[in-house]
Amino acid sequence: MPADQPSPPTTVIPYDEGMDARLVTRCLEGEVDAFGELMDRYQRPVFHGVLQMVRNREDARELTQQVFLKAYEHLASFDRTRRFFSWIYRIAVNEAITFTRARHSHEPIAEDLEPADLAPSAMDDLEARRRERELRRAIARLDPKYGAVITLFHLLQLPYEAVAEALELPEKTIKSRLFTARQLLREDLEGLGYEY
Amino acid sequence: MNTEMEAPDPRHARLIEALDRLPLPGAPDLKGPVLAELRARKAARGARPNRALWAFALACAAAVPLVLVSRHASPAPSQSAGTMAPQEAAGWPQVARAEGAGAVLTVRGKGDRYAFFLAGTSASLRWDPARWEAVAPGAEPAVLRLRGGEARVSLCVGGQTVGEVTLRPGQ
Repeated sequence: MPADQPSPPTTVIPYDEGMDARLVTRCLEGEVDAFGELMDRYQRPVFHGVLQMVRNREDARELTQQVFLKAYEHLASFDRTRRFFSWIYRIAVNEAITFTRARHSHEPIAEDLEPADLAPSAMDDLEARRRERELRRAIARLDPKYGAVITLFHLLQLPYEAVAEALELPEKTIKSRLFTARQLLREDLEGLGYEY
Repeated sequence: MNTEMEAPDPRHARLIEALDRLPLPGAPDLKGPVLAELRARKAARGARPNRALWAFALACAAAVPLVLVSRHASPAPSQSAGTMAPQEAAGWPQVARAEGAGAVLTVRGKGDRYAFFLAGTSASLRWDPARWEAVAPGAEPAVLRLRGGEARVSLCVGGQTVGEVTLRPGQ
């Protein structure tokens, strides 16, 4: 894609800020089902954001539940001019930080990021599957601050400004971290014999 | 593909392509458990102690499985105790619905309006698989069956315990 003609990023997050604002309003009016619609939209990206931070599916599952419960409690403080995902992602980051601090330092961190639910047809090539697995593991080995930008930008396909908003960092810092993260990934993978 | 606004470092082109093609796996559906917890909290906030006591008394009289509320309730001794009439207990509460937040169990009572909290539960979000069996593994929310023995359940309203029932499978 030419640099001067960027196409709109396709995202796994169904951005519709007007819809999010309407759902939040309905929640604040006491309609619990409206929160279910917000969960339909955001539980997958929140779960994977948390999973990237805590690296264990069961812990990520519990924390994601806590994140949504906390979000509901504090919904009145949500600034509807912001993206809902950015706001809830901040809650997720804080919950994950609290959790990882409480986790005993000697406890091994599981690299539990293997997808268990992808269709076999998508991974029927053995070599492609092996490369994909190693790439996921390499992402899991990254320092969390680099893993976060890779997850948000590449896996969740957020645009720069949304990543910046979610991480509360300037876009310039996001770009710099992305560069470093890719460099680290490439070095790591090449050390394992994978050409990138 | 997440197209960058600026040309990336050409040395990273293959890696970027691989990253952009990396599929995002699915995620567990947590909506059921979370919404159940929110509804339980809402019910707890809306409940009035006197109404709760009336409801408890009426439910006992009608042999209807009662109430419920907050798992943040104090595990203090109950002020009154309730038991279920045998005809209601038959076939109940063998099948309960775990609402994800572990300690919170929505029991299939009449009208599906009741949820029960295990007595003295902590803030742990995990249900104890030694005590509860998943009837449909992987289902969301999981349907659980008490494995045996008894489960003491507090009936709490507004953070105050107003009664207890003891659940016995197959009673």
